[in-house]
Amino acid sequence: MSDMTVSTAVQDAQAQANSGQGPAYLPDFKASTPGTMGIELELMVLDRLTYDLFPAAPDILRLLDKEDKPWVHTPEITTSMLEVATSILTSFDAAFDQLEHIRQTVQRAAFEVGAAISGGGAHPFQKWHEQRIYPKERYFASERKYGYLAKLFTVFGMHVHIGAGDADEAMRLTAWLTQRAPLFIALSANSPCWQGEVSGFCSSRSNVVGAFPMSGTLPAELRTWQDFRAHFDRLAAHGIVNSIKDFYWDVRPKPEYGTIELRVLDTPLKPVHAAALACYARELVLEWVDQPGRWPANPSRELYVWNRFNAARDGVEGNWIDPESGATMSIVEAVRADLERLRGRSRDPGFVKACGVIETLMRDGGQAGWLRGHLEAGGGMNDLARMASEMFEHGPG
Amino acid sequence: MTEELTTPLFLLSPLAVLGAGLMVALVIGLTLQRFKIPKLYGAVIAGLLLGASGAGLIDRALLGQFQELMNGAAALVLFEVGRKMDLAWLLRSGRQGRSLLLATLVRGAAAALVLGLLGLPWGAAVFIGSILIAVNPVILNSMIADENASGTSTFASANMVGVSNLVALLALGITLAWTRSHGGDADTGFGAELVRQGGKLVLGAAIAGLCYGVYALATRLCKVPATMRPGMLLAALLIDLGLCSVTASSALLSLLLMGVLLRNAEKRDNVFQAQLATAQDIGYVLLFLMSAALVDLPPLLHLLQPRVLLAAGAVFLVRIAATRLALWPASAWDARKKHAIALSMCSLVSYGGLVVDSTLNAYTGLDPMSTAVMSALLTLNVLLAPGLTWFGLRLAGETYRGGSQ
Repeated sequence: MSDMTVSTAVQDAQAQANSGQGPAYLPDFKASTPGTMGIELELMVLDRLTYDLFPAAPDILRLLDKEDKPWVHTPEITTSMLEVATSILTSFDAAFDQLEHIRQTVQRAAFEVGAAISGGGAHPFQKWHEQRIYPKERYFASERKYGYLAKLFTVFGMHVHIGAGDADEAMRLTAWLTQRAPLFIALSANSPCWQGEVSGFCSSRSNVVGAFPMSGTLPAELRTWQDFRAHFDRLAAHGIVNSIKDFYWDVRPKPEYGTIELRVLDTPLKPVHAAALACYARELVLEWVDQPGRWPANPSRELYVWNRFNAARDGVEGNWIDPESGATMSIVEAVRADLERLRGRSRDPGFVKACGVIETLMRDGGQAGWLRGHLEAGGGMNDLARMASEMFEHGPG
Repeated sequence: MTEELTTPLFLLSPLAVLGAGLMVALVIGLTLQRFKIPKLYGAVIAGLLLGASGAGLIDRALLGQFQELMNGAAALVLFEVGRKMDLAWLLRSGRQGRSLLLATLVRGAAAALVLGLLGLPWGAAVFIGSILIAVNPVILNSMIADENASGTSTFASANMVGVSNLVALLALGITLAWTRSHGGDADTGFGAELVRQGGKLVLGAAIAGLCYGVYALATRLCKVPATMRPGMLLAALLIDLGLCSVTASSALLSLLLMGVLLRNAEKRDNVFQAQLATAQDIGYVLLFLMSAALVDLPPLLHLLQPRVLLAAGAVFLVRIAATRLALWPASAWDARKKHAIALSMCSLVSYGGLVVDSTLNAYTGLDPMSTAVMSALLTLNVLLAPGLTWFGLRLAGETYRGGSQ
């Protein structure tokens, strides 16, 4: 979240740790207002003819530097990716407005340099080995550390930050949101193709993260911030982690912002989808905030992995096993039940609109289903990328 | 017993000579690449070794035997140029598109001005200036392919090559009409000559429209995705080339417009999404032939007056400087990329490279001094332009060799 103030000393220590050039560093958890939210989107930069990935992010970022805006933009691991992050938001309407501003501004800058922009979790036909590492030491360090995984990580996710209040509460909320993470994988799934092939998964992107050694979820035994700090220190002593960024968990605490970060979503095809999904996550967190001291009854890792696999493979047409009740239900049923319950308690007047958008995301197989439909109608991979880009560029609606 | 042949058999076959030349070019080029020197210089050196400057195996006379083939190859290169022109971007990107057009016009005007100030007749200076508007697509495209360049300045350069060749073709129609109607052997007035030259261009454009229509109709009849349409594209291009040949119309403009039409009119499922690369290999051969036939170093070095060398060098530099200056207002590229674009636009084309049809291959109506300057410019082009283009692409930071950084 762009306007969360982080002191310079913390920033420096964090940057050094992130790049692997300084000692391991875990900042103190910053106090925040529960339920505030911020949205990060990783966007594709595309060639305007072939719709292949196009290494123009440095030029687009240079143009964005000149813009006076409430949100921020940053590079990503390869030069065909760029990341944007909203300021702190508190409602669906505010999220929608700011994301729409982001869309228009980034699209304008991209056009100026001769590129197109698109949402989507994975480019349908890019070749990982053709990607170029962004010329910045931190990314070169990642490439040295992770080898080809660094380029393989040319996937595009949406991260939602939600204010957690305090450090211990962040651990509890992380555990709760992790349970629901597969529902967000399903709702955002829009990467049915990978390296030029139909992958058989609605979210191919979800499988890429698993290759990283620290991927997974918050270990169930970590229940306080002190537990987590001790865990961090143990791993750091072995040289396994150096900063919070080394934890590729599906949901993780983000101490310098005072948030928990939901990281499982494919970047939606339209900004309005992103606003709606972020608000859904926010309302869930607010519901758990109102149940202090309550922890998930079933932290089974196997159950989570199975739910995650089903969601990535089948998208909104998949099933979900509720860890609390043990009942198997369709993902659509689970989401609808959540939305019905949350609608009744939400204080965000725009949440009804968010629910409408999420209903749209569950129609016709969701975003992955829409893309597959285009392929089945005879469209090629390039045309699939064009369609996705046009969906993003046409904006609201 | 038949009389013994003193000449090796393969020298009697122009195709074999061409193949041998290409082989030498590749051997030298790939060897140079190991020493971080652009591979394209293999074609230049092979041309110098085997062409008029060296063994004399390839000269203008040999090129004459390949004329139809060479015309087709040159036109296909222009087709590649046309298909890289993004009209929507050129028209709607504001100062970006305008600066590329400005750079194109300023480049030609500056070259003409320098030549005039250096003493060439103004008519000849403007005539050569109109040729020098164009950037050589063979050198840029081949270098982009060799260096695996991709990025915003590469995109802009490709667009500027298209704009420059389009503008040069139109400008040359006018200056050629003027030069022909005012030369010693003039037999028609300017108006009549302009109609003749303009007619070739208009007819070429009409043929492009017709062939695009044929292609579009064919694709609608069978409704196949882009990946299955390259064959139809080839058929349409052959029809275009054939019609231009028999009507003596501008094949270059026609093919360039075909590229533009296919690139910009076909939005959904564009045939170029099938990852065609029509001109990369052709370009390598063309550069070899340019080097072999157009560069004749010994007599050039012997006969050239300092004034000619000075004029050619000045024009070469002024074209780069003028291009850089005209990019000033553009906001999409930083200063380094603007330098890079200007350098990448340094190459130039010969008269024959712009006026390819079945009747016109060379123009001999210029005075001796202007002809000498043009020869010197073409020599500089072959010797320097690949290196400067390569340096420009590297300066932009858009080349890529793969692997780890």
